[in-house]
Amino acid sequence: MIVWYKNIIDIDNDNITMNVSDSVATATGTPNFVRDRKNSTGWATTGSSDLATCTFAAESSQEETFDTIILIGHNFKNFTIQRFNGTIYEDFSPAINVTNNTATSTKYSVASNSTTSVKITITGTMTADDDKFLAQMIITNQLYDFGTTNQMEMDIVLDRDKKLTKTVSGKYHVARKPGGLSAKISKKNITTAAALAALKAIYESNFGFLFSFSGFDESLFTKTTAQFGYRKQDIFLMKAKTELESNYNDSYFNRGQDHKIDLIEII
Amino acid sequence: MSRVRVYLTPFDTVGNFASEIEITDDVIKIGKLQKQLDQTEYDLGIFRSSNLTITLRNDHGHYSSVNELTSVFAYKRSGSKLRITWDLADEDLVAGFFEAGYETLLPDEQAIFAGVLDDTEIKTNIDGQTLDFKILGYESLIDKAEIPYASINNGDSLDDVIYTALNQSTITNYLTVSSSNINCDYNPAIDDKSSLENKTLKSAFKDILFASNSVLYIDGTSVVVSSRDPTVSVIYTFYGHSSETPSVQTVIDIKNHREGLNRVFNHWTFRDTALVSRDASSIAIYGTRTKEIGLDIITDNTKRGTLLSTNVTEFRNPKIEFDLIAPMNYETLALKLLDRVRVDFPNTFEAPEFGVLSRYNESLYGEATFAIGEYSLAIDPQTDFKIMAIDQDVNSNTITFSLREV
Repeated sequence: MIVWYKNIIDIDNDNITMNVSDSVATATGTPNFVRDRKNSTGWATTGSSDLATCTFAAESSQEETFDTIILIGHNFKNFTIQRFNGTIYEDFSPAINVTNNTATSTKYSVASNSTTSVKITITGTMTADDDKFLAQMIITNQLYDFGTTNQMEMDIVLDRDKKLTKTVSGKYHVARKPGGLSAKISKKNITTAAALAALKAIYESNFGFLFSFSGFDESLFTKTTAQFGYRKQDIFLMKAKTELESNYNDSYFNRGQDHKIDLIEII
Repeated sequence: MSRVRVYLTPFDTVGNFASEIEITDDVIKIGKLQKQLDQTEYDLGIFRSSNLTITLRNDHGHYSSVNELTSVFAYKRSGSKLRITWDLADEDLVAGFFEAGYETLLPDEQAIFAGVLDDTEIKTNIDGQTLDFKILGYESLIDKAEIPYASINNGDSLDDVIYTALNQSTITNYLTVSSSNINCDYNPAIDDKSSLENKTLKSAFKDILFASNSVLYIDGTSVVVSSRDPTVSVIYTFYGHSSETPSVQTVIDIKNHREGLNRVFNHWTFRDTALVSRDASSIAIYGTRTKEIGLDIITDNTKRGTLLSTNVTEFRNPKIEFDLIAPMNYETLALKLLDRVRVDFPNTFEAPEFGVLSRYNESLYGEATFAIGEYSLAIDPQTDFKIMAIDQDVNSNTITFSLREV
């Protein structure tokens, strides 16, 4: 499980503007859809091709500091991602220059840096000459990677708030809503200080954190393909519903802490 | 996140306002804060003031009656001012004492309610050593003042009558009264002031406001009388979960959605006269739905006729109404009564059985399947609404806006 801070370019950040340029496309879509936390919407060009130099930039009115860039639901085969240094766009460290990409959701960790603009330059799509599209763009800082040492037990539910009404025939009518994710994560005897600090931050969060329950790694699923809630594109903005409980394992102070958190997806 | 604070301004021993004190630590419970214009579900012209109930601990006797030694009330309890503020930040920030690297919310205390203590409904609970106070919005002051009959003359406009009535210390000790804020929708000169004698402001204003198609509300600490017209521009747009505009969802829930027939009145009569104003088109569709007004200070039939036609124009057609629940934040707190708003709440579509939502460049005609839609309620984002009532719930950090189609 990896936890990141809320997307810096989230749709509720009024300091962000998106800029798209495509030398061939007849229309350059609605770039703000990549900020709305939904995989069912996104940005797409119309009439673009691999001949185009297509750039997609997120710009802030103030410098933002981050160490992670995530692209969800895209078809970029060859592309670069760069940062603005005040004068020109330059590579990150390490540089993000991707060729022959086939993954539709990708994550890049970079050295922590501050900038006012991040730009993607797309020079080819997975199917040649296709229009470019991208469902979500996340620019953020990692709170903690729980990895395998602190792998949490997880119980994930997509709560559709189903309302059952029995009809006169005896059959049921089911009304449901689009739903929000809820998850229970738990682990006993946690001794890693960084993990405990991250869990405390999760309890106390004002804005919520982004959760990837698979740690953005579908290769872990060796018996089945990654299912809903664990796919790379399944990143959710969540907050803790439970209160902070500070309990040591069996109350022995020379052991680690036990934590059990109920998470809920937030607006 | 968020914090609520409560401040009290009692009277000193000679009846002047003393210094304001913070009483937040003694607050056990705050009820819902309500502000509304003059309507119930099926009627109009019912003047109501905003109010709430607040429960305070009183084991220390600070809020006991004037005669008690430890009471903060030195003159009387009724009429003491009470102010409630809301702050997004949980705690005040002190330089050097908050953790860097974690989320930080800058404090910004905003007033969300101001009113006066009402002594008549105080309840004491011995078991819990608590007191329940009723706090009335400043609109309630108009029921405690009498019309200054001698200062009003025949020939004064309704605006002038209202201003003169409000411009007395019972009101101005708490509120700002300015003639620039008094603008009735229809503002004729009065013909006969005699019916105003010995009346409270509330009983006089009830007829004046209703007949002139006007409303009275408190904006901050100013009294405002205006038409029912909303602001010219759209102040805010609420977004549902399926909005086609990239947006954060700001609609928590929508309740009591009505088509508005309950408040259609297409046949208006003037009490004790044969005067009538009707809208034939509305009557043909909805039948005769009648309402009577009376205003003794207007005796001229031409003016009476204009009063009737002004009201039939306002209420002849049904207007959609519903309650919208939104998160409490600085943007929603800034919204006021009669602000023009929009609601972007389209139908929700889900992927069909064993399929995916159609997407540009991926779904092909003849192969893809139409999405499944939920059609029970959709609100057009191009439809304007005005805010008729505001309920603030500091316990759940939500605000309920009662909206009516413009």
